[in-house]
Amino acid sequence: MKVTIKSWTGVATWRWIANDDNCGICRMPFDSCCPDCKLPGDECPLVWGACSHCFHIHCIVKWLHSQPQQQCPMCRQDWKFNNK
Amino acid sequence: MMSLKPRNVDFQETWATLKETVAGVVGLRAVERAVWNTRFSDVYALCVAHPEPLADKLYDETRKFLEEHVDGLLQRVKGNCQLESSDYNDGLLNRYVSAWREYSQGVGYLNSLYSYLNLQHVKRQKVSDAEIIYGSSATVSCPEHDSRQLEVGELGLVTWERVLVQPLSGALSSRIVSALEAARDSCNTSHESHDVLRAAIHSTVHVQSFRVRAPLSLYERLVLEPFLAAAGAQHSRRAARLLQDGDVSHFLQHALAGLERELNLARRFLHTTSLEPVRGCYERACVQAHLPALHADVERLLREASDGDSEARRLDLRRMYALLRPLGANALRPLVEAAHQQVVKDGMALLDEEHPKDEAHSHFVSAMLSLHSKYNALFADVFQGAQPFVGALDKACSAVVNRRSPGESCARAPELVSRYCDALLRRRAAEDADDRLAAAIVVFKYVDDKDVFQKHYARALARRLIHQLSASMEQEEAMINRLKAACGYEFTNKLHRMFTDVAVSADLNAKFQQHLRDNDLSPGTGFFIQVLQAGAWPLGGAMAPLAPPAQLERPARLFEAFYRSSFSGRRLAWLHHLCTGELRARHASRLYHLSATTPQCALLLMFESVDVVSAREARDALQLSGENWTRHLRPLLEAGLLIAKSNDEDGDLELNLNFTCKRTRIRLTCAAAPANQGGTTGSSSSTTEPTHCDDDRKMYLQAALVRIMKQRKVLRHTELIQEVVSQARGSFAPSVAMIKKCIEALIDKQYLERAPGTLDTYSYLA
Repeated sequence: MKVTIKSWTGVATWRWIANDDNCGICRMPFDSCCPDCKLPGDECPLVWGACSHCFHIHCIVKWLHSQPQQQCPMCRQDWKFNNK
Repeated sequence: MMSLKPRNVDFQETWATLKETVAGVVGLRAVERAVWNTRFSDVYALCVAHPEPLADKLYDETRKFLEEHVDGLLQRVKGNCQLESSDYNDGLLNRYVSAWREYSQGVGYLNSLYSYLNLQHVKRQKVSDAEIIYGSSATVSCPEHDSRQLEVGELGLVTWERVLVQPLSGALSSRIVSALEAARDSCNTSHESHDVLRAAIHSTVHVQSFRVRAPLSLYERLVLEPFLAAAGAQHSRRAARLLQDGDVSHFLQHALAGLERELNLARRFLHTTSLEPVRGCYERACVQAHLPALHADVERLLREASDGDSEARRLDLRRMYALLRPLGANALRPLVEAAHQQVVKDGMALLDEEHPKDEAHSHFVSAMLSLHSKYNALFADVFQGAQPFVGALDKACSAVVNRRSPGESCARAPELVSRYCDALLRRRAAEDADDRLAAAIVVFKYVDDKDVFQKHYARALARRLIHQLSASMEQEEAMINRLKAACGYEFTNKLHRMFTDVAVSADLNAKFQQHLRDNDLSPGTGFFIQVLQAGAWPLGGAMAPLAPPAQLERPARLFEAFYRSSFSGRRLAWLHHLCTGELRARHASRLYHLSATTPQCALLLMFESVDVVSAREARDALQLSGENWTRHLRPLLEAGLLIAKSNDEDGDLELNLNFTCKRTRIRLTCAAAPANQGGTTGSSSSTTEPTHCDDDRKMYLQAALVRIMKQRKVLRHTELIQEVVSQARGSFAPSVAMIKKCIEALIDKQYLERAPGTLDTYSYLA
């Protein structure tokens, strides 16, 4: 039997790469959104800090706004966005 | 020309001439214009006479005159009649009416003759409206003993009432009532006697029409009350006779006709305000008294009316509704309940009709639709679509839709309705699909377990979107919008996300192709990808890693690299059991187009070089185990492409060299899809579904409880339960036991506590 593949329709799911299941600030799973958003997905992305901790972007921005020093809430290092 | 100056007037002399004219006016005899004018000035002269105005004297004389005149009329009216008899043909009514017509007209003229007196003298003494309405010492006393002066026209009417009507009241009243009874029974009495009767009745209204207080009291005392008393007795007798004579239809027909005749009678003869009392009297005597007898037959009437097109029964029901409706909700309740029962019974019977097993979903929906439209039409026809009946229909439909057969742990409705939608949305070129989907919403609205429906629907939608089975995307979207309209945004947001993912994927594919062109890369085969957001799709767990065949490895890796570069922080997971490969296979000198999942592609590719492969080897090569292996292998065996040499899992697989198939396109994917299809697997899914939903429901209820308590702080148990039920109704009907469990759970988690010192109150802990 001679078989050739003409075309292929792939199906894949994506999820955030995170080092934890839950956001350390809002305690919600990373698969779902922060408490202020309605839908998970592109509207409620994750961000990584240089310290390798990761949060919902909305959560960490809110946190940084409320603090005098810009520190990671998990490890108290200075917070820097990791744009790798 | 007369002088307007006050002067000395001889009262006796002037009154003597004036009286003559007055008698002429009141008796409707001819009065010359010149005389009339002179008398007009005489009245003026008397009113302004010098040295003392003679108006009061004139007024008293006039009253005396009128009393004498009316007394004369009384004798004329009486004639030689027996006042005690109630024979309305003895001429008393005729004489009364002719005297009334003459007198009332004459008094009208007299009023104009005395207009100066009325205007200048009487008006000043009159009581203002405000005093009458809000009461003052003067108005409390009875007008008859009021010494104050009235306008001359009114004086005439009062005199008439006191002198003529009073002594005749019994005689008039009994004659009027018996004449009315006679008029009810025969419609062909001459018009003249009807006119007389009407005039007599309306004279009682007219006589007091100038009164501000209780202007109808004479009419009510003389006409309405005796009439109603007589009519009530008459109606009761008639209704009893009707019930004896025939069945309910007979009764309804005649009772309704009787009502119409009664109202007609009232309209023709009585004052307009009497319509309601007359109707009320009839209903009390004729309908209210026989309610039990009517209610007894309601069930039978409804049953027969719903069987086919029995116009006679419908007519009966229409009449019954017309009779019962004015009596209020209590009288209608048995009818409403019977309607409910009838719909439920009929609905159950419809659902239990024989039908092919794999047509259960369309049987279910079309049975429900025909039930709904049938009774909707029936109730609109016979009950004018009245709210209580629409409510009963809704309640009955939801009872039928959500019924559980014995042995089933939950209703099958959600599954059946979603399968119905699925079948319609897949079908190609069904031009009425849109209408039928819109109709399915009608049934869907009655489903209690909307969350279960949502799960089924989401799975079916996922299957349609991934395998591109939808007839049209517009239709899919329209259906989701319909569901949104019925259940709100929360209900469909997952479905919307699936939709968005598909759109985003199309965009992504275009970008990927561009990327390939820009970098001069080729994936080797046609390639299309759908990237779905984990969590939004009801796809179950990701598959164990699979080594894709070499031909597919390349495009997959290319895409992964592309994806990583465009979206940071995301991880892709392939769902190989959902991927579809389009294969061209030349086998036994024929060309076949196959659609297969990735593992099936890989398996088929193995047979390119050899005809027999050991199952164990294949399984190890594909890294598939247990359930997954059989799931992908079975469709190949069923299609006849491969032959298992033994039942053993590790037995050899052989390529079927004698394989033939009439079609050149063969789909292997669908049957291999993990979701269940058909009756046998359907039942297994309906047992797993509720447990799935139970967890979701508990979360939903707890969230609702916290929301409510956060707002209210302190709430009693029953109110809390009510609020939760009303919030949850949109997606399911929660059981009280489950709500209680959720409350317990929240107390354990210290969201709530039982308010100290009370048994049934909760308070929110911030």
